[in-house]
Amino acid sequence: MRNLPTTETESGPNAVDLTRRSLLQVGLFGSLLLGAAGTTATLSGCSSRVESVAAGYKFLRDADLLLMRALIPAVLGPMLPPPGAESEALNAQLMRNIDLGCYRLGHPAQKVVAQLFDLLNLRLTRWPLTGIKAWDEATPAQVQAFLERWRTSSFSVLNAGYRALIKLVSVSFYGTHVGWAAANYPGPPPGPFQVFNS
Amino acid sequence: MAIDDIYTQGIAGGWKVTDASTLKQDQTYEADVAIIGSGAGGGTTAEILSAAGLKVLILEEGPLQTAANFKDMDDARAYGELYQEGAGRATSDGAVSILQGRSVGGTTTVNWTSSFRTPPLTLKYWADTFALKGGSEEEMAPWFAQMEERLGVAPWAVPPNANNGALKRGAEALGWAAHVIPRNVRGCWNLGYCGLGCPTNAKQSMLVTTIPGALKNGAQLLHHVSVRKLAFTNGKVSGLSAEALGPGCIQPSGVKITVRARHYVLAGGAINNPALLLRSNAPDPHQRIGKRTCIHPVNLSLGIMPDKVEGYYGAPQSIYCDEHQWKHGAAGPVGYKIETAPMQPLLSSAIFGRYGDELKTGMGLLPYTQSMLSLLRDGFDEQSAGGEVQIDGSGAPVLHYDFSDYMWDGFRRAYLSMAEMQFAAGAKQVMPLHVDSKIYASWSEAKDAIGSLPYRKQRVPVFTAHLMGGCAMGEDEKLTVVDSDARFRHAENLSIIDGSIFPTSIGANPQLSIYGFACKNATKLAGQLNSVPAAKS
Repeated sequence: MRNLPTTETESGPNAVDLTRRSLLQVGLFGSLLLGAAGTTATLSGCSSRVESVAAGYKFLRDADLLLMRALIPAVLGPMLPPPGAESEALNAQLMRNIDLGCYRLGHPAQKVVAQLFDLLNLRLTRWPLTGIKAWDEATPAQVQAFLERWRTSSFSVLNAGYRALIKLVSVSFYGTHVGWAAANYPGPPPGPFQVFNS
Repeated sequence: MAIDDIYTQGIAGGWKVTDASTLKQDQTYEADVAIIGSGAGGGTTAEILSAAGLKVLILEEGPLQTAANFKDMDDARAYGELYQEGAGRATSDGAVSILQGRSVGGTTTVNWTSSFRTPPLTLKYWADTFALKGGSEEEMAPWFAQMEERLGVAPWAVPPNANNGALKRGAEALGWAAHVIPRNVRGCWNLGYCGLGCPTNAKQSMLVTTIPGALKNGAQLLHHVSVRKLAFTNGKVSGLSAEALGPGCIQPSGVKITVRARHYVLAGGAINNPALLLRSNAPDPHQRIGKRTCIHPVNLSLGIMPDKVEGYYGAPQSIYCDEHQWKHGAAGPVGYKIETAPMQPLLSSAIFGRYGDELKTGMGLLPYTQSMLSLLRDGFDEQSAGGEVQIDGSGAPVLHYDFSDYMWDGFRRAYLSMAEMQFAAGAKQVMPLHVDSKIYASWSEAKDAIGSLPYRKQRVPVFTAHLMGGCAMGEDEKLTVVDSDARFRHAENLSIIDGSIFPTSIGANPQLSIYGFACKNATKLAGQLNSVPAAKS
């Protein structure tokens, strides 16, 4: 499980030891995780250790980064530049935007997002719920198939997960200048913009 | 030409403004009145009380951002830094997205300027149902007039942008009444970036009106500070404890702040006020705190127009349609007000809610996209009792909100009205924003589809930018948290002055309702506080 940052200091967020138990107590995705946990004594790949935030990030863990790397092309695929330096830079910017978006959420929403990511990262829950074996091996088409499955599911909790995931990615993109161009948005009116910024 | 940000000069001239993130040691402040929140309620109250000679301390959780920040007109910066939870706030199950401001000026810094007096039918409903006194149309008129004058509220005299023009055209084609929206602006440049913070100070938000007014009167503003608890002792509030936030305005810096005042005013909004009272174990014999939270649930519809609409430019809201709002008076099937939404790409993509090719195609049509939204008037029927604010283990607010069939029927009728207007306005295609909707090429096709869409949570994307209730006002003590003068029932030196005291939704964008009631209640409070000599502390 993950640390949720609770204190802002010069050296970066400190961490509180949110145990799996407290993480799973309540929440949208908690019941699904609990259901999975009930089938086995420990969740594989996530025993009692507290997984920390990925280096250079404020909320996302290493496992979440793999998930996002798979999700971004599934949501934005046709609009991303071809593989190369430009694409890598944009990808890094989107990951930072997603990270910051999660970091700015209040404690209750962070808990829900953490549960959603855990659900998608734990092998025990990922495979039956998404059909994806490993995020770093999934093709955009496979990830889109998973998104479609969650969109059309009769479980509203999965619909909620679908909506949260595509929103995280799309708002991270349409706030960038590449996203503006994809929306054929010319940007702020140039005359006033120049007046304010000259 | 840089726009004067107002605060640089003011602070240089002696305004007492403190960024609590810069504090290195724990602090204690004393004041006649501590006001928690600097939005429509807190700002109005601060100016009135400070003008009456009272020593006022304003505590704001968000940052101080001004025209100097807003000049980039950048949606990512604005939504991340000026909104609660970086604009990611939602109800507990994620079914409703919540846009609520969080900076000096509160939501008034980022709202879209629509300024309506509280509708007479709403005021009458409050008097009849909650025994509200002093809140009739005639009694409220002078308070609204005073705030309209203070904030430059007037019907928008410039032709509407194409987004609003389509609403007018569609309504007129159907024989539905459409009217011009009064806006709180002076010298507006008609840019359309109100939701990102006004770069020209034209919007008469609290940031550029009452807060500077209060600071000129000697009030002190402390921002980057999160109030954690009020202490209740012997029927009074005896103090409050708060935490300074770090520079990012998210996590506590570790510095503790204590405030002692003769009187306390809660103005943190309909989510944060109840949460603070619940964290503080405030007396609540009838369990009313946090109940009946109303949100004007919003659903939207997009119309693809033959010509460019460029809904990201021009005053975001200037025309409204109330054809379906009061058909049965205050009661009956839920009414809704139809307006437009500004269409900068980040917000547009959040409401669009698609991925892959559908996202690319849909968002690529943004310049041709006309948007309509319906504000459902919740809280006027027993099948629409609003939501409930609770706190989690950390004391953070959680809003639960459920929809009955009564409300789903309202969403369905609102989709129909919006699609019909969009086709009547000349749309080639219409897409009601629903998880299962498609793009429809004719009114009859859209009508059939809207009738057969599923109506439940997570299928109808719901939004709110209007948070009301949770600390209802009135004389019926079993139903209300504050009396008709906004005094908390169970502590003699506590008032609640903002949108959280409305016992139902308003039936119109709420800012002027907040200003009017704040003006009335703060003026009365100033008289009461000045007639009682300050107690020795």
